Amino acid sequence: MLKALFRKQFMELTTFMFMDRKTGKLRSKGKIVLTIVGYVALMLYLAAMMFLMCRAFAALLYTGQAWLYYSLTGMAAIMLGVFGSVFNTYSGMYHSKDNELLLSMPIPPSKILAARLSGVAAMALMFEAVVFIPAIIVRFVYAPVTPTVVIFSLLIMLTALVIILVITCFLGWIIAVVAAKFKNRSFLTVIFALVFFALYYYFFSQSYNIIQNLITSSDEVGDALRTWVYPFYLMGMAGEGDAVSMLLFILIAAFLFALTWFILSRTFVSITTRKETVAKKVYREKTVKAASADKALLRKELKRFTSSANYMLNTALGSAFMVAGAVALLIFKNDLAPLALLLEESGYGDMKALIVAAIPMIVGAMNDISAPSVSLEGKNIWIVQSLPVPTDRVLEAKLRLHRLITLPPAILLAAASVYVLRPSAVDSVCAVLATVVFVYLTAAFGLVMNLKRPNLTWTNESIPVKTGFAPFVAIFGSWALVALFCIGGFLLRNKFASVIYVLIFAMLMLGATALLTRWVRRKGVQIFEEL
Amino acid sequence: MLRIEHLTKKYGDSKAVDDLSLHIAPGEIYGFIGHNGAGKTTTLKSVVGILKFDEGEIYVDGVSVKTSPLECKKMLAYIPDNPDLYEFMTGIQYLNFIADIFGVEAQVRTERIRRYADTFEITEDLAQPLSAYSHGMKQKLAIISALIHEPRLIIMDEPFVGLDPKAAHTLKGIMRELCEAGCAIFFSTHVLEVAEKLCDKVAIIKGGKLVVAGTMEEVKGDTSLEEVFLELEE
Repeated sequence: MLKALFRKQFMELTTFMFMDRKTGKLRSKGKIVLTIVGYVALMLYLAAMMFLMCRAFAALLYTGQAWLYYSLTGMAAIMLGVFGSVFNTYSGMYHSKDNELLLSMPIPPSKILAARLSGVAAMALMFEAVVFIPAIIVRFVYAPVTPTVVIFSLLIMLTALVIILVITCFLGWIIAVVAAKFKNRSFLTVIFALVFFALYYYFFSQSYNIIQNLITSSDEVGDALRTWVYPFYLMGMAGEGDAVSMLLFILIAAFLFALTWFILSRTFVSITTRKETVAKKVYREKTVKAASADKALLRKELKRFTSSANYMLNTALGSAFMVAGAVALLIFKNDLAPLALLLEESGYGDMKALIVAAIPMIVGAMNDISAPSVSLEGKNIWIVQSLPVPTDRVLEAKLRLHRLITLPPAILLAAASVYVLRPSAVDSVCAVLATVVFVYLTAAFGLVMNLKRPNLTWTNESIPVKTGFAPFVAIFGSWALVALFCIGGFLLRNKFASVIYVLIFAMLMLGATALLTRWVRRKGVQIFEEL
Repeated sequence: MLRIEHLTKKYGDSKAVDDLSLHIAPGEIYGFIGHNGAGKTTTLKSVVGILKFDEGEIYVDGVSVKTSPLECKKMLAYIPDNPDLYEFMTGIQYLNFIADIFGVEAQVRTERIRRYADTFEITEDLAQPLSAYSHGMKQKLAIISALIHEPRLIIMDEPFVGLDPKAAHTLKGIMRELCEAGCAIFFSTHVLEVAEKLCDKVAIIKGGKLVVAGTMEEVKGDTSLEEVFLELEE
């Protein structure tokens, strides 16, 4: 029985390699090989990055505090293992679709739990290994190797996996509880994602300094670890071949796991079968204001957008970056002042209009809100098709949403760029105009692409948002346009004044927007009505 | 109120509906019966303007669906066989969205929402997102949204599926009330007992072709509708 459960769990984990999520059909052999090779390449890339990090930590092996090496790399491995598997724990253990099916069968809940944990462990091991295997290799290359060190290194990896399981089970449980309590989960997810991005970029940019600080202040770090997180001290000592530390580390991990198992085996059924406990909001009649059909359609689009973290994160990250960019420009204005001066001194001072327009265009090109908007109608498309509202108004609402989310931050970023670079008034107006037209054009382009290749039969919203043809072409098309704008402006700088070039480009974009909008109103309407 | 003349709709080379003609007068409840895949949903979707048809004409109160689809849509309401509604909206948001599209005044819609939501006993749930609604609740909301602009013609595809017995009884009462007020109702069903008790007229479709149509007495005579249907299906 347990073997069958483990097999099912393993199939669940690896299905994505053999089955196309979009069609639900088996992939061809070539595609399976390509998927596996791509996945392995990604893991090797991550491992190579981690190898570089571990090599930086190798200095610790000669400082007399060699134990800190495994403490820190082990900690990094545990963090990545937890991060990589915690969301899988939530969805795989507590929120699995087949929990009720399995519970209705003559299977002891403890066996279901064991199978579920095996899935989490496999995922955690993969992420942990990405850090720990390079760490072991670096350790073996840069310090003396004894049989004890080899055995203990592998034992540490397995014991750390148990620690990861304990932490992920706990965090997964917290996520399950929080997810059940929060009503506005999509915004919560977006905020989490944005905080994660911010932290990622911060740590990525500061990683060298952080590692250097850890190495130079290794005494203080070592003392802190010993005092506050003793198991990590034991892990480090075990890595240096200390048998007592190894034994204690294993015992602590075993105790924590036993405790987790004890709690989980007693609460697993109640957690997995619990109904969400969000307090039911009872309707109270309020005074309503009638709105026009156009406003109602825009509200509908906005509501769809804000209700889906997937939609917001995958199609409108550019807006968040534009706001962040504008704020950064204002904060670091003085630091950037020499850049403006450098432009003047190097003879590129007259290219400010191009630069001011290019900044919001580069970031704004990340937005493709209109690109999956037709596909997202999905099985609800009958509603707008059967309502007495002209189809061009339905499509216009999709364009308006794109502009509503993209235009204000784009203008804000353009204004901040004007404030920092101080171009002339004419340059500024032309640059902002080009930015506005660019947003109109990319909105129309995304919608046209989606009308050309709509997909209404998706089963998971992320398919039209992430993997559809339209978002792909819309994003790369927008970037190609920005590249053309920048390269063209640079190459033609001796033939036109930058401001004239920006104006001509804006006019061309305006013409393209008019053509695409006309297509939407004629052919696009026809396509939408026949979907 | 509804005149279908020689309607033909093809999917590729096969005819889903073949030369179908029907006439539904104001105040009539017209049942549309046929086996799965007979062409009922295709006919209903053609009437409400979701599907473009190949031949024939459809008139709603004398207005052509082909040439003036928006005019026709303003007069009718459609309830599909599967109430796929916007799950990102709450019940009240959905009803207000529909009311805004039909231009129903604020005070009027509030009164109608109150009346029908109370009748179908979902008033308290209107603040809930539609993703939390059961199939039956969605069906009730789809019915309320269809009634919110007081249509003159209601097209329903299997309206009783998913409704609890009390809600089904309520819906039958509302259908009768609306027809007494001059509204026409054209609905498909597989529940022949309901059709027999509720409908003034009935049409049976087989393989896209109309087999028989007329008043309930004309169609079933002294036998039951079920017997007639099974006989025609053989």
